[in-house]
Amino acid sequence: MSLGPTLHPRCHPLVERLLAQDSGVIRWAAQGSVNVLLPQVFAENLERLREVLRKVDHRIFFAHKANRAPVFVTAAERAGIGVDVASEAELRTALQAGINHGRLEGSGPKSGEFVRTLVDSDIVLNVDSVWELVRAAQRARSLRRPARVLLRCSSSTPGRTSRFGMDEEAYRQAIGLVLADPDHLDLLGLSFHLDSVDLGERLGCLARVLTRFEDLHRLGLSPRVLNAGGGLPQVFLREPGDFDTYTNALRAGLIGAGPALTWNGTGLGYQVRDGVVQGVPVVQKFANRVTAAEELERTLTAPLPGQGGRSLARVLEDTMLQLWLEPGKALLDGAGVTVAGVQSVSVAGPHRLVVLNLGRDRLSPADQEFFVDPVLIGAHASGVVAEGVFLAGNLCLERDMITHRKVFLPRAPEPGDVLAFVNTAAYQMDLSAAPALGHPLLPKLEVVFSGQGFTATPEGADHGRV
Amino acid sequence: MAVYDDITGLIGDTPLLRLDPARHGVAGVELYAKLEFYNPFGSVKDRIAWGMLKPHLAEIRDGKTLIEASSGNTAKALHILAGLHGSGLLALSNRTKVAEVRDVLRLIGAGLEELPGLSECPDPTVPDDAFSVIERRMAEIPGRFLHLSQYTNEDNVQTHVESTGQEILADLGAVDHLFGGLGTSGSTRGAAQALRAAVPDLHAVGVVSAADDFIPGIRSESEMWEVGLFRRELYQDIAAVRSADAIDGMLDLVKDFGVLGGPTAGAAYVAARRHLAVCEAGPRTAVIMICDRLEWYLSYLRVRRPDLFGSETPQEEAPAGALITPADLAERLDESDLLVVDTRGALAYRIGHLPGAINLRDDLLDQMIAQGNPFPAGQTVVLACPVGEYARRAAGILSRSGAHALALDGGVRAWRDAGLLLERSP
Repeated sequence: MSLGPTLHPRCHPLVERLLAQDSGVIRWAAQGSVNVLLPQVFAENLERLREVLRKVDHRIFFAHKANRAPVFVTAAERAGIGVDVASEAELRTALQAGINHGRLEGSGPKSGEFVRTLVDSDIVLNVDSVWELVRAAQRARSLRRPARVLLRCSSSTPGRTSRFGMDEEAYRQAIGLVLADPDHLDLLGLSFHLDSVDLGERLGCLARVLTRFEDLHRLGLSPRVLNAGGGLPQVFLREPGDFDTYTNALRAGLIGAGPALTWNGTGLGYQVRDGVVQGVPVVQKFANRVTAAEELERTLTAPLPGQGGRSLARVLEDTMLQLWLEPGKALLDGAGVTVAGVQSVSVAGPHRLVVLNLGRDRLSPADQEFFVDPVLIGAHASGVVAEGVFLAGNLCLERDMITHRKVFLPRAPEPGDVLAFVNTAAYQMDLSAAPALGHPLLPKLEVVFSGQGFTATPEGADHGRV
Repeated sequence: MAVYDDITGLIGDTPLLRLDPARHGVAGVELYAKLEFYNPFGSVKDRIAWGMLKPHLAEIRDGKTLIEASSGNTAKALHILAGLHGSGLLALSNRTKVAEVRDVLRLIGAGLEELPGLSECPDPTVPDDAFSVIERRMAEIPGRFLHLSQYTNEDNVQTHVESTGQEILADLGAVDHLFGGLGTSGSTRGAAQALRAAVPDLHAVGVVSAADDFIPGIRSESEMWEVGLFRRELYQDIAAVRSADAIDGMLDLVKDFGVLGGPTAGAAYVAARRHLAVCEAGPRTAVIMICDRLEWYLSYLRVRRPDLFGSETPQEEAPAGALITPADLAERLDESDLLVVDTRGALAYRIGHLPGAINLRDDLLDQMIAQGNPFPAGQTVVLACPVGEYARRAAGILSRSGAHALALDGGVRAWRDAGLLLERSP
């Protein structure tokens, strides 16, 4: 029996235990799919980052945008960190969770109303554009007190333009505005975010932003915060080599050097040219093997360009700057599971289809792919069936495929089986979920382990056992 | 030595060095190093740059500029050769991670477009890998560029069949094993092809970096999919080497044989020793490729092995130095025999330091202290560090060697928090 390539999820021990038991959560899911949220995993992730930061003057703001659920905002409140809100709705959630304005930060592109609300509530604005800064200053003048602002610097590179933050010209304008109205614009510092997995690029970007602090001091300003944004990675796969093994087989399939593994020959971002497979797959983030804490440690300790071999941690200490971080996915790594039931199985041409009771948008944005195998509940993980299956969603659309790739499971799934997709809390489970066909959004269950067993509380309900 | 009219005459015919078996330690093996850094621009890539360019000289004389995905050695050689014929090179890469390589390319005038690193969430509608960008650049200005395409150009392989492989055959005759790093795979494939004419069951080993690691100049096995010339079936083995082992191997080559090869040479040497040690017994001949020299990679090595550069100053045990509070120091700042030394980085010093303080970074001060007291006798030295920890230790060591040294209690932070003045440097 030839084995197909697998992508086993990396599971927190709590998730292992949850999936191994015939728990109420699993029985619930057999009737309809559900999202499981584990705030205890969130708290552990936070502790790991704090351990790395123990000698660095810092503040952490949980990036609420990564998951809609108030559960994690409450977890942030309990742990004593701040929350980064990107909309009025997120701000309301944070305030309801009991986080006061001093522990909040407003980020991302903002509406005029949102800018006004943030200034009115004396919440730090991570200003994304000159337009926002002008509005913040106007509002502050009418309130006769300063708006507290960070200026977000664009991390565009010659090869990749970022849609966020201010480029050189906009930054100069913004500084002009701050200098012109010091009574109403209190510049706390600068911020940036980098969408790259390359440590060298991150360090280069940090070094460039740091030189701007010197200019600000020369202009008579006293910035005291360096906000390095988020971008700390997640680890999805249990076996580090699985990603390469699967993508090697996938690429072999694309050029006919092995069995085809993708739906209708899609390359998932790979392109075939002259018999060679090129390009970057849309699933690149699933290749990562470095934990958020390890990446943060590397960022803090590697020599920064142009600083005489000094690391970021040293330069921050030297310059008395406070480091702000806005982790979202790093805190949610492993803290969510999407559980779905098998609705039916069928055959489509040469392929076996397994139709689930949820749509693709419950697991991943349309142009991406959840590149981790689901756990088939109750199946022995020892063997792997030779024949792979495609997982399809419950929408009436050709493109509603849960996976565009073959999944190899310990046995063939049957109607009534339950599949658990592990590590979906960050930007997977609810970023683009929509109530198409009248299918309701997935209910969310907060699951907490206490000594003997799990307590599950549906979102919005009073705490109690399911 | 012969006299040459053209630098291209110096490409190829590189020497082989027999590595002393007593030192490489693999019984029954004659191991030879093919010293490709003897090529005029310093690497094995000089061969293919010339091999690929020669048939196209007319085109670049007509004004076309070369465009190529290269992380260093090919770019260097191509730009120099094209320059001799009135043209130049635009190199594209997201793999030029080594500062010296980048600086040398700029120094000799090559165009360099650095592509962003891998995005966490690549936008499938905007591919920005080197191959896609080259296609875009060529489409933007038709006729402007000539793309020799080292990763797919069969002249790359053929050059090594005709030169590298033939040279080894002529010098050694039958060879049983060949070890070389895989970048474009041209050198190992070409040399192996020529050597198989004499020994059909030549054992060719392609050396790659371990999957989550980085060795400049070679790829990981998974990255070989992008290489059109790569033929997996032509290799008996693919050996993955970690960068730490490659660097150790590189240092062994220097120490044991005087071979100053780069990290890929170290990787090939490590892979060869591992493989040969478990092969069947019997006298065998093996060749490793030494692609270039180690001086290219100083910054790469500095990051991975800071210990090799003496930056780890051993911490001496000394009693902690005496303290002075910010308030007391503020009173004494005018004393003529008192010197305040700010031990923080230059950026922090320029942003704000104690009035009249000089800047002597802690790592530099450590080097001076190691030689004794660097300050004039009779002078009182106050060390100001971020929070007072380093200064206390350094003041202790200085005091032991006869200086009158004090540490600012709580550092510059305490000074600032006491509301005392910090001055800016222009």
